Amino acid sequence: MNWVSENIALIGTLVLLGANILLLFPSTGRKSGIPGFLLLPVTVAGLGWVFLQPTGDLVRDLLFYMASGTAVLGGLLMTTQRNPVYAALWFAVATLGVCGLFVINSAPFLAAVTIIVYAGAIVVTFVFVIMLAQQEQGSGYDRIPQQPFLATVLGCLLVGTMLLGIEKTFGPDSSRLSVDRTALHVSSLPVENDLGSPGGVGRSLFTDYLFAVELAGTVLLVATIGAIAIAPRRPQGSL
Amino acid sequence: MSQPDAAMISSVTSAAGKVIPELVLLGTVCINFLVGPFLVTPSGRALPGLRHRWGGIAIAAICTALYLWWTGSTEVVTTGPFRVDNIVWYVRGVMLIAALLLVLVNWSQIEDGKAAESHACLLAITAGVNLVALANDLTTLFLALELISIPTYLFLFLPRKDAATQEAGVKYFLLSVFSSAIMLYGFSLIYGMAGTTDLPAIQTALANSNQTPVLAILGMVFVVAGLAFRLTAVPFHFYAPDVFQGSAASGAALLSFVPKLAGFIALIRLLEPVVDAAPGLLLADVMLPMLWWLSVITMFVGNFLGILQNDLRRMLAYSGVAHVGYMLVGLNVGHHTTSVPDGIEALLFYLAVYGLMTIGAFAVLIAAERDNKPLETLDQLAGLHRVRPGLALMLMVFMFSLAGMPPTAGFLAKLNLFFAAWAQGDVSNRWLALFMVINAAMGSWYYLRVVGAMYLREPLDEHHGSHAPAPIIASVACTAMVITLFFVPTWLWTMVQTVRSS
Repeated sequence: MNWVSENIALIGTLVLLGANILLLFPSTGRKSGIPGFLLLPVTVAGLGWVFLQPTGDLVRDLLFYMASGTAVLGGLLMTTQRNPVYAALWFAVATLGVCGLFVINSAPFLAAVTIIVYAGAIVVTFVFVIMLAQQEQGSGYDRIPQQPFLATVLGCLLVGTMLLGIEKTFGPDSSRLSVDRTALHVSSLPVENDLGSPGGVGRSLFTDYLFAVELAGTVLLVATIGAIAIAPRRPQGSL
Repeated sequence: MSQPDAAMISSVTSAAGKVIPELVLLGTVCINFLVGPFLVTPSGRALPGLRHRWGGIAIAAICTALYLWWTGSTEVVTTGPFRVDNIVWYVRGVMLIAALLLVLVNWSQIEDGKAAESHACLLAITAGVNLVALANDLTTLFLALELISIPTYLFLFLPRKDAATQEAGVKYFLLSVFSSAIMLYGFSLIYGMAGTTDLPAIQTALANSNQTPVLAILGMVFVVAGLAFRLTAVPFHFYAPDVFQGSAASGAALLSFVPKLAGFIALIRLLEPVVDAAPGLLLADVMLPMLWWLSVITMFVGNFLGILQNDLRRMLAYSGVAHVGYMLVGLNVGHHTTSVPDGIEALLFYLAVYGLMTIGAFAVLIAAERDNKPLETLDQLAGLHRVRPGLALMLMVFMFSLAGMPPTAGFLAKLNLFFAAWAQGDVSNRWLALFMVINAAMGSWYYLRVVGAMYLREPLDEHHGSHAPAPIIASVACTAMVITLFFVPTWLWTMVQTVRSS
């Protein structure tokens, strides 16, 4: 009970989040999603109130609230959309929000790559697959979630566990694990302000992670040739 | 050129020198992929007999790698992108020999037009397993595991005889991708906690921490869940019977051993730094009870469901699940190095023996195939000893070995695990040892049913099946090793014992 009263704000927000997701889920009986949408700003504001402490830097705080709010909102709407195309587009919005967070945390290269890979390539692939595979009205499992309650409870439990873990590790009353960088084998670990820049990433990729890059190349080679090898052939030849 | 750059280049070249056997394998993969398409017609047909050449090339590549492995240096290196120690030496040997057997098993299972890609996938998987053992970094470890998964999808999908094969391939693909994502999530949490992907550095970070590393625990739970899919540990086993039943027998033989070997090596590698570094925090509170339950549930569910099966490959899939439960016992007691025999040593011994007996069993099933149709039900084995007495004898040896009866190596492997769990002394581990004995007794029911069908029932017809040499060579080799290892276990045991001494 002591633990519950200590973390009452966290539990309350998670319950609010879960209820909101349940309201937003498409279902057979209820046609209107208005209550869910009305609750949405409250949920996002609640999440912000519990987990975000202002740092004092007004511009940074404002940008942070905008980026993280976009990400959370995009994620919520992505999971609850009835139409898969809209879900793919909300996924792109959520990714853009996350990229904003990367930029604020001075990782411009990561942000650019994430936009190119996720918002560019992956969403386009999603939309292609949906266009090619979608029948009229979409199939049943696309329209109605099968286990909405169980899925929401489990998802919120997972989120709660992760949040507690992160708070215990990085929160105000924790002593963060410190890595003794001299113990690393890496000889060219980028200096702190070089960490997220293209130069820093490139240097680290092609020195410390050279073999990992080569290995990734091998995996991609196998995957590419394999995709051709398993493609069905027509009797008259030509793929 | 400045001094740091020169040092960097020399460290890169010295690291490349540690993976020469894998480079040979991956080079052959490239040759197969590049040359293969030119030897088939546009509609995918090839000259009959082409598969013998591709099989020969695969054997040559693996033998070269075996030679390089045997003559290579055994110097222990723990820093740098690759870690070379006695576990690597042992895993390389086991995997290369298993790959030889799998090439033989796969020989007649693949069409001539697809032999190049199929054997290339097998070689890539072999290199991947070795790289899992070599990996000294979370990134390399993940990529090495993917170098196993992606060729495995192809390997399962390439025979593509009917809808069941395709369904099995797609099912394995989806669940494997899902498990990789879970594992990667765990890796990212560990990275977020420690700030580095380097395994020795993570170990140092955890050893220096003065509080419970909550994120590391969460991360490890995800990683163990992701790897449990590869191991087919309960509750992540549900895909195994369907996939085994649907794929070609060579694919099932591969799945029954290789992902389990890779999964256990990855677990040993990951648990070592993450668990050993903070005794009393991680090990005692979360990881050990989790592994304990995983082991017990896996054993019981595997054997219970195994008893209910009539399909041979489903039965062998559940038998694999049960054996993973036994091997998890070794992992459970492996972190108390005081006991003799050590749990990890018993686990590594068991892995090698399990590989021999399960690949051997599938080789016999392939050799007993009729009209290139895989054997499905137990009834098709009825009276095998009248029609093919040699095959029946060999399958009996493998079934006895899987059940853990003398005079086979499977008996010694189980005995080692039992002693490791018993000698460790904790009450919970003694319970594990007892559960193992109960399960071994339960398991022998369905293994002996196979033997009974072969020896006590009349054959349904007088069909002799094929006499293709490759699977017969593989099964004879497996039988010889399974029996020899019972009488001279020290050959393997001395190799296993070097693992902990480093």
